[in-house]
Amino acid sequence: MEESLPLHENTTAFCNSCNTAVSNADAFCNNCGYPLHGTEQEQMDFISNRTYKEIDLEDYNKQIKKAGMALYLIAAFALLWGIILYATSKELAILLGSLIICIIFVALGAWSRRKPLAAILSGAALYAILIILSAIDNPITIVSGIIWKVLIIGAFIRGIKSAIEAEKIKKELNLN
Amino acid sequence: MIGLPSDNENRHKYCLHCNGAIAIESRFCKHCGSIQITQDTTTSEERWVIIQQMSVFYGIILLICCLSSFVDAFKTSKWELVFQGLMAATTITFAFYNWPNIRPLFRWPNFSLQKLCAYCAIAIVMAIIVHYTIRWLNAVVFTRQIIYNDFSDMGKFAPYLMIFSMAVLPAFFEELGFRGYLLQGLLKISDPGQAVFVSAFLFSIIHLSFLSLFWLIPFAWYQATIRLKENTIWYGVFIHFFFNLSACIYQMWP
Repeated sequence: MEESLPLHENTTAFCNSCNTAVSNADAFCNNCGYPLHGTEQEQMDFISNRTYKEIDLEDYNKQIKKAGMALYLIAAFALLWGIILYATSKELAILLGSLIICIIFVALGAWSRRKPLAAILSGAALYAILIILSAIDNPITIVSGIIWKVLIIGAFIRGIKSAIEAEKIKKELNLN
Repeated sequence: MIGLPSDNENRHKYCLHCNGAIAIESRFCKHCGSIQITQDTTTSEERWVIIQQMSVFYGIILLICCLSSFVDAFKTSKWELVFQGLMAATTITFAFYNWPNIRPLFRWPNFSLQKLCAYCAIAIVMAIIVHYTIRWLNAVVFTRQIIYNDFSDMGKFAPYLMIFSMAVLPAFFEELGFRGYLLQGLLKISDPGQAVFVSAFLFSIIHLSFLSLFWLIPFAWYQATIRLKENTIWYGVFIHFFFNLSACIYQMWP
C-alpha cells in the first residue's frame, strides 16, 4: 500500500515564530522548526534562542557594512590620488589605472551587501597589493596614513569574521 | 473517476533524522523539528584558520611577484628562475600541508582525449585573441602588460628556458596553487560560486597588470569552473600550458 501524507486539516494555524501557515497535525513548523505542540517552556526557549541569533546577526551585519564602507573609502582615495597625480604628471595611464582601481572597489563594495565574504576577501587582497607596490616604490608610504590603514585592515578582518558567522546563522534561521 | 496524483504524493521527501515523510520544500521536519539542510561540519574557528593560512600563502606569492616585477635588481634570468623556484616550493609546501584535500585532484576521472584536445584548442584560440587585443590596447593607452623574460642572457638555452619557466612551471604550479590549494580552501569557507570568483580574482590581480585584468579574470574563472566540473587539475594544467606556450611563441617570433 502506498504511503501517503495525512491530509491537511481545514483549520489553518500560523506559526508563532515565523507566521508561516501550518497544519494542526504538525508537531513542528516546517519553515523554522518551532515546536507547535511543545510545552510553554520549549516554545519560549525556541523564541529566545531565535531572538538571540537575530540580534547576533544584526551585529555581524553592522561589521559587514563597515567593511563595505572601507571598500568605498579606498575607492575614493584611489580616485583622488589618481586625479592629483595626473594633474602633476599628465600621464593618462596613471589616471586610467586609478579609475580602474576605483571602479573595482566600488563594485566590491556594492557586492559586499549580497556576498560579503567574497567581496571583502577580494578587496582585502587588492588593498594588500596596493600597499606592497607603494612600499616597493617608496618605503615611506608604509607609515604614511598608518591610522587609516590600520582602521581599514581592522574593518576587513572584522568583516570577514562577521561574514563567516552571518552565513552560518542565516543558514540556521533559514534566511537565505 | 481516476484523478491526478495529489501534489503531496508527488512532492515529498524524507527527514534526514527521523525518516518521516515531509513536503519537499520543508526546511525543518514537521515530525521531529530537525533542520533539513546538510550541516556544514567546518566550524567558524576552522574557517578563520583556513583564511589565515590562505592569506599567508597568497602573501608569500604576492611578495615574490612584486619583487620580481618591480625591483630592477631582480630583473635577471637567474633571479627569474630563483623566484619561480620559490613560488613552486611555497605551493608544494601548502599543498602537502593540506594533502588529503589536494590528493584527489591529481586523479583524472573520466579522462577523454577528445575533451583534452578541445580544451587545448580553445586555449590556443583564446591566446591568439588576447595577444592581438592587448597589442591594440597597448597602442591606444600605453600601460604595463605582461612581458615574459626571454632569457636572452642564457645563450642557446634561452628558448627552452623561456618555455620551461613561462609555460611548464606556471601551468603546473599556478594550477596547483590557485585551482588546487586556494580553491579547495575557499570551497570549505563559502559556496562554489563565491569560491570560483575569489580564486579567479586573486589569480588575476597577482599578475599586477591592469590592462590584462579584462582577460585574466575570465580565463581564471574558466579554469576554476573546469576544475570544479572535471574534478581534476590536469585539464587546467594543459589549458594553461598551451595558453602560455602560445604567448611565448608570439613573443619569441612576433
